[in-house]
Amino acid sequence: MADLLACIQKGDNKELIGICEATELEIACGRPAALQATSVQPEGSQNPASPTSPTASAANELYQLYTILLLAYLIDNDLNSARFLIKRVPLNIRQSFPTKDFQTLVQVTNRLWVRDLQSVYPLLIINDETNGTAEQDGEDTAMNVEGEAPSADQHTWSPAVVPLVKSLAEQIRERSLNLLGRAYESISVSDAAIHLGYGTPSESQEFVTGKGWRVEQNWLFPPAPGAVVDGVGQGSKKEVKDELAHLTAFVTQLGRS
Amino acid sequence: MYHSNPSIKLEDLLSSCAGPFSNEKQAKNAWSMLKSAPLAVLTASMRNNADPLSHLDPAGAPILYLAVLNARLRVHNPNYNVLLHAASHFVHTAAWNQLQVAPEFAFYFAQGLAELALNAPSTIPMQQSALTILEPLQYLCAYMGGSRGRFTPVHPILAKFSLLAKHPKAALPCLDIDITEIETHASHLRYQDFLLYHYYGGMIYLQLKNFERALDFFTLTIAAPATVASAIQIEAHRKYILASLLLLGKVPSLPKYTAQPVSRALKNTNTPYDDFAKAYESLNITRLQTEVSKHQDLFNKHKNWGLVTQLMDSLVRRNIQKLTQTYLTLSLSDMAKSVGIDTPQEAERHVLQMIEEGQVYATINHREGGMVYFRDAPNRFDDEETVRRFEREIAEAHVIAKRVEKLDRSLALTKEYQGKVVGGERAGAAGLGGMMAAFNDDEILIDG
Repeated sequence: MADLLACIQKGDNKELIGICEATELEIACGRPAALQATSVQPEGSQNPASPTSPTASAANELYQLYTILLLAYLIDNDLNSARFLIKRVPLNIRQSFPTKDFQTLVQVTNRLWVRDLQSVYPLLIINDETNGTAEQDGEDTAMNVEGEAPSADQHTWSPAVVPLVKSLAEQIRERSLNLLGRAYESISVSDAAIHLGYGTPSESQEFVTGKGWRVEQNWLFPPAPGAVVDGVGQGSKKEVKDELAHLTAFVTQLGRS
Repeated sequence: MYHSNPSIKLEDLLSSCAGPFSNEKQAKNAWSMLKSAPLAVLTASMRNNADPLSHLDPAGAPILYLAVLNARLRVHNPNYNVLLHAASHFVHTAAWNQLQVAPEFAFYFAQGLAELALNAPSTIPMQQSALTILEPLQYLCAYMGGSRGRFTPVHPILAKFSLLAKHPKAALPCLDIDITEIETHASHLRYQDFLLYHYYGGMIYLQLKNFERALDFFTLTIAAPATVASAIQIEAHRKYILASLLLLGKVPSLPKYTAQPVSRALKNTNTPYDDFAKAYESLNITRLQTEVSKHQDLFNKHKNWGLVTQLMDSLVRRNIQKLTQTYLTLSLSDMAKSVGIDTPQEAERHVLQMIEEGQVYATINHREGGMVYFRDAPNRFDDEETVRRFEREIAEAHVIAKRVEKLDRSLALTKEYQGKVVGGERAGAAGLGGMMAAFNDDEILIDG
């Protein structure tokens, strides 16, 4: 588990997915008892609630692994893998999980699947009480909307997964904004707020202005497609000439063989 | 034929078969001994009651380790947890290069694992027991040839259990590598293995929504040489039809080299699917719904209902796509009416999803009253990414061309081919045989 947490710190989501996937199969084969850990207990066995019993620690390890992997899939926008993972986690294991993190992520996955973004954002809010002073910079304050009544959806995320949950909310917001930019010439502030998960129009306006959008009364206008730097270089003239020479040599050689 | 010695003991085997061997003959003798050793000997405990598996080292003597493990996998009521643990230990530490000279041990191992999972204790659901053997199967598939594109008996097993475990992604490391070598003698491959692998592989790619590759795999199943249609081919054809509709909106005709008995059987058996396909191609939602209700039970029975529902949902989007051929711009409410959706909001949801998935290029302008503007696909082929892709595909095509050339040359040297060419001449066949005869006649004339 230590290398999982280290990987989260590093912020490399693809690597995290790779490690988690390998670990899942490794546990299933190398320590199959871990998967059976919470099935029907034979008589006279240790109390499963005891923190030192092998049953409890195996279940705990699985819970962490599955929760982190599910989060990583969602951050990667790989809903397909997320759904299969959920299908794979046996009910008895799920019932033994110490927190509702995994269950909440299942709800997030289902809502993302039907593209009901409006109901996803509230699930990802980081509850202030668990995470004291962490939410003070820039966009994070937007998530903890002031004055918003605590909804029944609100779930308190365990500290270990908070960085991933924050990352997920940011990813969803960025992807939505990207899509809105591609799909709309003009969109109302209230509609945008639904896609971006903001409670008040002013927050949406503030967010999109920072990304190069134009605001006019209640309408938002995305920047023109060419204007946004998307990182695909045209290359200098010399590079293009080099490529051309390279390709010509290649094709000539093919023609000869 | 090596006769098994009934009085041989486990310890004798362990010491004489551990290697290293000074020559190939010694090695081959050792493997014969292992292969013919009685089950009772291989599954015995050591003299001090220790488990031989904890004594043996896969890094030093992988074949011996597998011989013992394979035997243990075959006993009645195997110790599930212990053997799985041994399997994991093996694949993490084995000296794979040593196994290449006696691959049958590895292939029996894969089959033994499959049996273990299928016969797991009843408290463990199938999905879970299938999951437990995926790790060793992945290693086996890759190291025994999969990573080099060589087909092995492990391939279909890995694909099947990935499906059973509800973990389609687990099979990708082998599935994603194209098969370029099939060696039937060394690996005890069966024709059925080929069919099953590509059928299961197609299903896996369907689950991963890689429809293009799914179609490739189903095509390979259907077009495999045959004198009699296999049930696997018939089932693959059903999924082939449905997947084609999802990806292309129509069903392309099968390759010309599809066996005649197979195409005949497909035409006779899969008529409901052909009818469904024609209804889908007409883009008429009512007509499609009629076909679906007619054959609902059948689609369910064939486990194709999921695909059918996906197709019904996709018909709305295909109709929206068709609009791009007629209109440059259209209001959301007109669009809704045109494709038979209730509200403009729903139409907007569809369009948004299609834009996200690249199925349509359009922009929506709400300020102008909910208008949709259809645009041309932005094709810019002058960037770095395209050049790199171009180079990569040329290089790949070059490699494949060389391989085909080599295959062609080696086939021309085989007895069968030579026989056909010469036999054709003797029989006076009009085609190639006749040509060869004419050639020889000319020679005789010239000499004489």
